[in-house]
Amino acid sequence: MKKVLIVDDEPNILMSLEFLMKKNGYKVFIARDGSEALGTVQDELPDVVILDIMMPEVDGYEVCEFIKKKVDANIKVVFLTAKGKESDFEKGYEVGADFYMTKPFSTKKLVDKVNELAN
Amino acid sequence: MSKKVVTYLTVIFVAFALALHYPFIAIANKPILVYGFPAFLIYLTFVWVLLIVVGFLVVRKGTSDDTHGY
Amino acid sequence: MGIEWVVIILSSAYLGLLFVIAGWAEKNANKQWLSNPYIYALSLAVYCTAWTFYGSVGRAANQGLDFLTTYMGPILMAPLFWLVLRKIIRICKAQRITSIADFISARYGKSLFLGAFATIICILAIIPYISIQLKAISSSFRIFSADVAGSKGLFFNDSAFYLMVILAVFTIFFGSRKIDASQKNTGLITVVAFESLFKLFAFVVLGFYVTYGLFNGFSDIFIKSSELPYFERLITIDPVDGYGDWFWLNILSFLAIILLPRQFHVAVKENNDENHLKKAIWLFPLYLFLINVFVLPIALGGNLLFPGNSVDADTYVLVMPLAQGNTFLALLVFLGGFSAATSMIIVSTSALSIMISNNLMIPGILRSEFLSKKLNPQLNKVVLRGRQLMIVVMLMLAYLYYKYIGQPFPLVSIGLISFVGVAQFAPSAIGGMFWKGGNYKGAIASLTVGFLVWMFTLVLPTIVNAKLIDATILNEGLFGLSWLKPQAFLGVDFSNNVSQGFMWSILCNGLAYVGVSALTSQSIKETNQAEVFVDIFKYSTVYESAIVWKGQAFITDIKNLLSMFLGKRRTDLAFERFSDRNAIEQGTIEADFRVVNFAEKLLSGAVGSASARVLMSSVVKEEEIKLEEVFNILQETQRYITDNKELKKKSVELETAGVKLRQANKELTKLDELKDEFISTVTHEMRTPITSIRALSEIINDNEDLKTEERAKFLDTIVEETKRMERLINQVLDLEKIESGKLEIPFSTIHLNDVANESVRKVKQLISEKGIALSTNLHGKLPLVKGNRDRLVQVILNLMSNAIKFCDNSNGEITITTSTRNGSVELSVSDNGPGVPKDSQKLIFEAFYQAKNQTLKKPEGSGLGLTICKKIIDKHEGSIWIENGAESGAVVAFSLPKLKL
Repeated sequence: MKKVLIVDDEPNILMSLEFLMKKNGYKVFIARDGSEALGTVQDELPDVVILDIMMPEVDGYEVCEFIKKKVDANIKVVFLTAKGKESDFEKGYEVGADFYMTKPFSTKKLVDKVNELAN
Repeated sequence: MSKKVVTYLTVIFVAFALALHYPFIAIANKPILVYGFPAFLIYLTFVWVLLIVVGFLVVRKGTSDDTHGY
Repeated sequence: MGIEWVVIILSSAYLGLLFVIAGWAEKNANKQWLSNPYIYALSLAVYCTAWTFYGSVGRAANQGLDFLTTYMGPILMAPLFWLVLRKIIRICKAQRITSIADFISARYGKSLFLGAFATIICILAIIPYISIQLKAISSSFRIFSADVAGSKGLFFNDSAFYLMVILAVFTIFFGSRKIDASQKNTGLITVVAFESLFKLFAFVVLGFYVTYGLFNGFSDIFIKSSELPYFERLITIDPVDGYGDWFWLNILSFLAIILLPRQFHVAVKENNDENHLKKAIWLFPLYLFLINVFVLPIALGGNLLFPGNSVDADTYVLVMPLAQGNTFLALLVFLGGFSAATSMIIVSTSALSIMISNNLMIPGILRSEFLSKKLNPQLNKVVLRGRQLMIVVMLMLAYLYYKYIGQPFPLVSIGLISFVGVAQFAPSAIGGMFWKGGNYKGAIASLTVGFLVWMFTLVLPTIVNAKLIDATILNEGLFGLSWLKPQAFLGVDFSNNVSQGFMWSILCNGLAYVGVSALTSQSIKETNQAEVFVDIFKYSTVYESAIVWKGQAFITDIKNLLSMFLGKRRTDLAFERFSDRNAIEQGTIEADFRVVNFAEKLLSGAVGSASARVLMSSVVKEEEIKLEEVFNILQETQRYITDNKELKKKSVELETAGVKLRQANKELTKLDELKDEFISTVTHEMRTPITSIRALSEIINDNEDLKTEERAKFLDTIVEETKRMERLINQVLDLEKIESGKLEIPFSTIHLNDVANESVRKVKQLISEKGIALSTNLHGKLPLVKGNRDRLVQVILNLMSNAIKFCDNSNGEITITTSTRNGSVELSVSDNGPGVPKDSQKLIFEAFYQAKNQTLKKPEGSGLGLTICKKIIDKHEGSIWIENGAESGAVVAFSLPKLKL
């Protein structure tokens, strides 16, 4: 079973993402902020990480960079964020993201993308 | 008027609807005079007056609840 | 002078009196005491017509107690007034519905067809009923003329005709003066109440006269008449057929008391205070009791005095005093019967005329391009004149029916057949009020089936009896099929044709309604109306915002349309008031949904809801909401909602939120030009709730097999998130209002300690729940300040909610302090949280400081609270600042200038 880590500080968004991923047959892990995410990534080595950017303490960019450089560059990272400016996109890809998606998102598109990246 | 009073009114309706139909009316539906009055007429009069009185009392309760309710 | 002239003069004088009373009441219409529960309850007694007055005694004399079935139903409905009638009244007020036909049409998506259909049923049912009133009056005239040996003056032959003319004038004067049919006709109602009192008085006087004058009290009559051969039959009901008839006829009158057009007219349309229903709950049964007490004694007395059917029992009430030479009493009784008939005619024709103009005439005009062009400039006159014309036409028809068809029937049978006709509305009208599932197709099926069975089992035999068609159909059945005999439908033969006809029609009708509704589906528009009707008590306060509307319309177009029907002056006045109440700016060009709904409602009062719908759609360009994806999502959710019952409940909240969003969006767009930056941060903040809403909506939409608890949880979350958006929107609007100077902040002299105490009271609960220690340190001799109490409370509450958010998790402490310094008064809120970094202390009052300045996020909050606080304090000419506490935590404080004496 493929593993997905979801990182977001909004409980309601977490709830919907968790449902979606479980529904599509993933083993789901959850982190409510950046530092928690750093720990879980190292412990569980997920296949895909769905990552918010604006979070308390450690932000999404830092988490992404950490994963790609320090843990395993094969872990796929999808940014899922409310930041929708061109410069934000660029910065996201700069730190090594595999895909950048803005909120609000289409559930179908997200699931498709995650499936594609996981396999 | 409170929910409770509305419930009372509904119960009154059901009770009197029953009282004014078969089989209850059959009790009084006899061709006899009681103290010079037809038995069935006495029964209907009684039920009718009771309906007015009960209606009056319940509404009065409902109205006073409204004014002193809080 | 012959007695017939006395009768003529008296009845003319009586009608003159009615004019005087009505005119006087109209003049005093705005006086409080004219709108009282007693007048309301008395006006309900328009139920008692000439049929009660003459016919009850006739029926009692021949058939005994079954005349009471006409009153058993209404007294049983009385306790349900609060439950049923109040709901109808509330619905009609919210939607400006003025007749039963309008009511049905509105419930099923404002259908023109249903309104017209119901109107036609009413006309067919009520015209014969009006005609028997004319008949009752003219035959009572004839009793007097026969009394004066053989004189049959010309005038008397047509007494009914003259009566009709006078009543037409009266009804036009007092029943149809105002174009807006939903306005009250105080004159009419006062007259009806007066007539109710008068007929009761006349009947009771006669009752006393017969019971105690001609006999020695009640028991004397009963004991004497026990000698009569059929006495036992008269004081009981037949144990074989009787119980069934009793049951069905009671249900019939139970429905009629609500559904008869004249009852709907007095009880619903003319009601101006729901609380009047309370008194009617017992007063109306009391009235019916009083008017019925003497019926049986008079009937039996008549049977004793005129043995062997020597006198028609329908005329006992007049013949008894006349036979004793008591002309005065006979005249009083005559006037009593006259008042019963006239009040029924007046109210019925007013009700019918409004129904016809709203559901037949206006839709007809609107449909015909030629007519609507030609009549365009004076449509309001056309509507009013048309209605008045209809009054005349209805009375003419009733007169003709009386003259050429209705002669052979006793009063009672025609009346009951009318009852059965209007009872056909019960499933679609009453059912539709309590069952959301009932739909348009179901209502059509219900009315069609009920109407056909009614026509076949009850109306057809009367046509045969009038010798208009051959009697074979009665004897052999339709197409010669014996199970299709009108009076033994499906081979079931009751002793009483009316109860049989009623039973079959209402059963088939109800089945058709439920069956067809269950098998077919509702349109969106219909669902909206079904929601509003069934849950009216939830909506009536927010009615204007409870309906989602999308489209574009210009206020001038709408105003022009309204002027055509209401006149320019009334339209302008109505708009002015509405704009004031809803804070719509002068000079606004585009109409929003509130204006459109309001206009449609106003128009409904004049032309009926279905026509109003058609008219509005001519000036309103309805279109898909073209807004950002937010609204699409809300819509999707909404579409899904219509299929799902539990979702339905939530849909309203979503709808209102959607509507508010759109409003906010408009406001936002305006701001956009000025404050690009601001806007982008607001939308940014909105994304979070929208994301949840969209994701969850899609999940619900894509996963039909969701568990109930799961779905409920998701739905609750959606609602919660929309509320969050709403809060944000409100704050944005608030800020905008303050900033643009639109918000007036009235100042008064206040004591800041009071303001602090009030604020503390408001959050005490929350604070103790969170286990935070709150203390106040209020200066004993604080000078007064000038300020706005509510706004300052808002500021303090905001500061406190920040303090709650940031203060120490386990050992929270918050202190409120007031003090004075250099001619100003200060209030501070301090917490024991982490404090605010020095370089942020000024910036923090800028809008969306949190979101804008970092990728890291602080705890929840719109980011607008402190900005709003600053604006409010600025308005007070004070200042607000933030600093760090001596040991730890943040201190937010503001100061206001001391009041100068």
